[in-house]
Amino acid sequence: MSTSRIALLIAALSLAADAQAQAQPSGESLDALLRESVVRTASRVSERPSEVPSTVTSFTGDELLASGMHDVGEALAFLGVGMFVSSSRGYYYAQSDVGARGVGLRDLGRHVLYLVDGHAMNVPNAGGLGPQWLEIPLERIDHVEVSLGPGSVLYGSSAMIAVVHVYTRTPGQSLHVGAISEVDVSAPNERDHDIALPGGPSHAGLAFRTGAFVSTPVTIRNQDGAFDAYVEWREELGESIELAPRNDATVSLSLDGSPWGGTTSVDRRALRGAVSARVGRLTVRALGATDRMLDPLTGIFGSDVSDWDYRVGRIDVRHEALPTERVELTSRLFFDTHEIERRGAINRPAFCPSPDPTMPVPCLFRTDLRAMGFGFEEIASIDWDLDGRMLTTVGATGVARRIDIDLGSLYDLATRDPIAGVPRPNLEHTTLTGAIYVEQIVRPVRWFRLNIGGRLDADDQFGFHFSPRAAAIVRPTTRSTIRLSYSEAFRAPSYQEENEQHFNTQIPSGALRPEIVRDVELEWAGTYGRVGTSVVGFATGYRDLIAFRGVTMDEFDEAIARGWVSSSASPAFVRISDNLGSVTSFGGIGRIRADVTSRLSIIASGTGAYARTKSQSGPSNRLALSPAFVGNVRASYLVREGGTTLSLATLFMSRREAWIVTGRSSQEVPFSFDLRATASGPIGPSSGVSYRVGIGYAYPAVAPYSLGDGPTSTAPTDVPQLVPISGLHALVGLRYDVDRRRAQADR
Amino acid sequence: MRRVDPLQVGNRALGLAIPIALVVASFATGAASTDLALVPPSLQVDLLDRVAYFEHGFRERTGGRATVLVVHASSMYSRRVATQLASALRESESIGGVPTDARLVAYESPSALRAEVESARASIVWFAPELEASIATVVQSLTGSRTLTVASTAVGVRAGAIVGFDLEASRPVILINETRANRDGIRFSFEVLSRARLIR
Repeated sequence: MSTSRIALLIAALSLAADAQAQAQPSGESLDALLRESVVRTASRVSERPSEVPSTVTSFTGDELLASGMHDVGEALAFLGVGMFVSSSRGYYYAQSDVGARGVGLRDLGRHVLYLVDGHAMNVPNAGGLGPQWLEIPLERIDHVEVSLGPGSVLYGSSAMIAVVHVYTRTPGQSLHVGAISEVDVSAPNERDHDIALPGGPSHAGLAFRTGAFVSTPVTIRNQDGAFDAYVEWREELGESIELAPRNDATVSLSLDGSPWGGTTSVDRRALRGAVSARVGRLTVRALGATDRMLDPLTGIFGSDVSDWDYRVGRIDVRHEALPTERVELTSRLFFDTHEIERRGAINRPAFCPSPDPTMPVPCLFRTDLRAMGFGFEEIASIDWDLDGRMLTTVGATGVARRIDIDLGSLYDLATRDPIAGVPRPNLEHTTLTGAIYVEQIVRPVRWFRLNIGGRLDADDQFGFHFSPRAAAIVRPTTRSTIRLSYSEAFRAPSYQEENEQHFNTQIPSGALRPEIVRDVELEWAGTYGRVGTSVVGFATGYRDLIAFRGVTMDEFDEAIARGWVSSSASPAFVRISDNLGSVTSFGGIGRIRADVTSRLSIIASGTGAYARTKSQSGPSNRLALSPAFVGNVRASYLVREGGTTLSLATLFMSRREAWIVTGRSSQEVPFSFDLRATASGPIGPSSGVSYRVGIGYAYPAVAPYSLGDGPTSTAPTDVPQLVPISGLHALVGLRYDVDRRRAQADR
Repeated sequence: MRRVDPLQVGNRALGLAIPIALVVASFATGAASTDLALVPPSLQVDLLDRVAYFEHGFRERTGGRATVLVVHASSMYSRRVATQLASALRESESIGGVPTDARLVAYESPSALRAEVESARASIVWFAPELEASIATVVQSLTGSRTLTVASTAVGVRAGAIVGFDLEASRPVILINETRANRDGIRFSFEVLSRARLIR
């Protein structure tokens, strides 16, 4: 059957179903309305699903908890929003490397913008993600909106692959006090990546989190308001992981000269807390978090010196007002401070300089980032005739940021003194960025809506960049929509990417251009009875992606002359950042939600994409790091009203190549499958106590990061291996919630 | 490494200070609440369309044409939402399968509103936000008129409106004040009651 005939058939079925629905509304038509998520991320105004100019999906905080998720990153992988993470679980990059629509660049999330209540959470400068997924306790999440595709038109840099926006809960009308405690036990992982039982050198992992929160309405000088606070402690004593011994030249041997490898585990400790207060139109939010994780696979195997520390503080002051009936004004002042320290114990002659090359001196490699930013944002939304037919959004934002980066100081591992004679590439810089943007929504007739916008970003590093978006949305029937959109986005090159250097391996690149993405999408969405479905086709082109390349001899000679690299450096091992790569991706996303009964719902989604990458000099190849297919199936069943919910969430990813952490050749990760099975609900009708229990299973129990090349002439016993993760874990949690008890009593 | 010119930094700081001062100044402008926590007016109207369809006797009560009075307080926000609701009602053209007229009414007193309801033969009275404190006395004064009272907020339903809408985790919720509905002789079919949150 030809494509046009299929389209005609779909149109005919849509019209027939629509005519029937118009003639006699049913309870199912009410269900369809109650399923609608009201979203704000795509246009910064409240929109119904049939009005949004991009592919937007959302899930609630309750769904996240009931599905057995541990953090937002995991939820992005499991809850069918069209995104994927490189590994559903695990510590090693794991959920930092996020992607969507066939493109995951293994870039620590630099091309995804993560917002919490409108506040950008990405690490300044590098733009990456990771610990931020854990900054907001799950119980404080109201809902999460994910807008796939370019989003720079309203959000600026980094919104290239997606914008993930967490909205936290707003305090209710009564005092609300709660506490949460959860324990997660994970099975050890042995060398063959089988799930093992504890015993011998193997031990299980134990993670727990405990927290408390309070919110209450307040009245100050006749102004209604609310106060909200939480604190959460998380401690992880990782399961044992076993890696084969390695002797190749790319790894650090232990201090006694024994090979890299053996049995180790990853521990983590995090504390986070926040307060927010609202009085009338003014809301102040302050958040602080610390996170420390051992990193025993970096440098000397199992070293408890190798770790990273993440400390962040954020303040956001927001004011909302109506200067006139037609104008809604949102004003924000925000401040954030980041401190990220990474340390690695290294025992490699090429890395740790030594007066005597035959006598390597073990060293401590340390990189620090300290960044402090202060900014404002002013947004005016104008509903010209108060009928939603003509909406204008105008915004302006500016940020001043002070960045202090130590790109890699070397210390003597024993004495902790700086190693003499090694350049300490410390960068200090103040950046000033600003932007103005405008978006116009026009709805001349009920069945047609046009959304056109553009944003001009100014950056004192690269100049100006314009990001446009245009979307036309047609409603051929009251139950279906067709959307065609074009959008662009960019990521600003970071100061670090332009100036990073290492005395032996890297020279600064100087001015880089912004990375750019251009995207065309065509979406059809419809709701018929108990079933809601959407199909999206996309064609996306990324260009000027920043990547490393080897230096030319001219560049190397200049680097020597300027003292960027030492005279002992080899041009074969010196690299430089450049606007090199381009990626094109074509594919489709299908999503279906069926409310089989009032208590049983099933959501299935899948993304199939073909992505090719091309560098300026190299050939065009399939983007093998990203899975060509990612799918989710999620089912939830409410056993009885106000009682237990059973949930099953699954994740499928097709074969893809592992990212090379060490070595020169990659390995293939086979088709992988993950599941979470969870039961949750109240204990007793009015006790205020609820529970969450679940299990998780991953096959294969590896993350797609490759360690080593396998047997070589210099290391004949080495085997290639992937970073292991725990294949099986169980979760048990209890929550006490005073407000919930009141709600149960109401019933 | 780049050198930073102190004069340049000073100019930049000034460039940032001016808009920040304007943002701070804007903190002193305007009326209170905004639309963040409200179900969009067009969705409220679509929901009420279905709810009214499943109200027993709605068609008979309206006599084939339903008049909706959208009542607002004197505040800017209340007028804004009421105007948006009235626009959405006019665009919808019908509620519960019955052709509909929508009129904006500025709230003065319970008795004045009762008189307005009787003169307009209104079938539905829709309270815009920021009238919650007056709803209890208004619905009392409307007792016996068999008028479907609707609130745009959950607080309005708790205050006495029969039907209302709320946004919970970005999804709309229908609230029904069962006590008030029984008192006013408004009955809904199972299709609505099984999907609504009942307030007693």
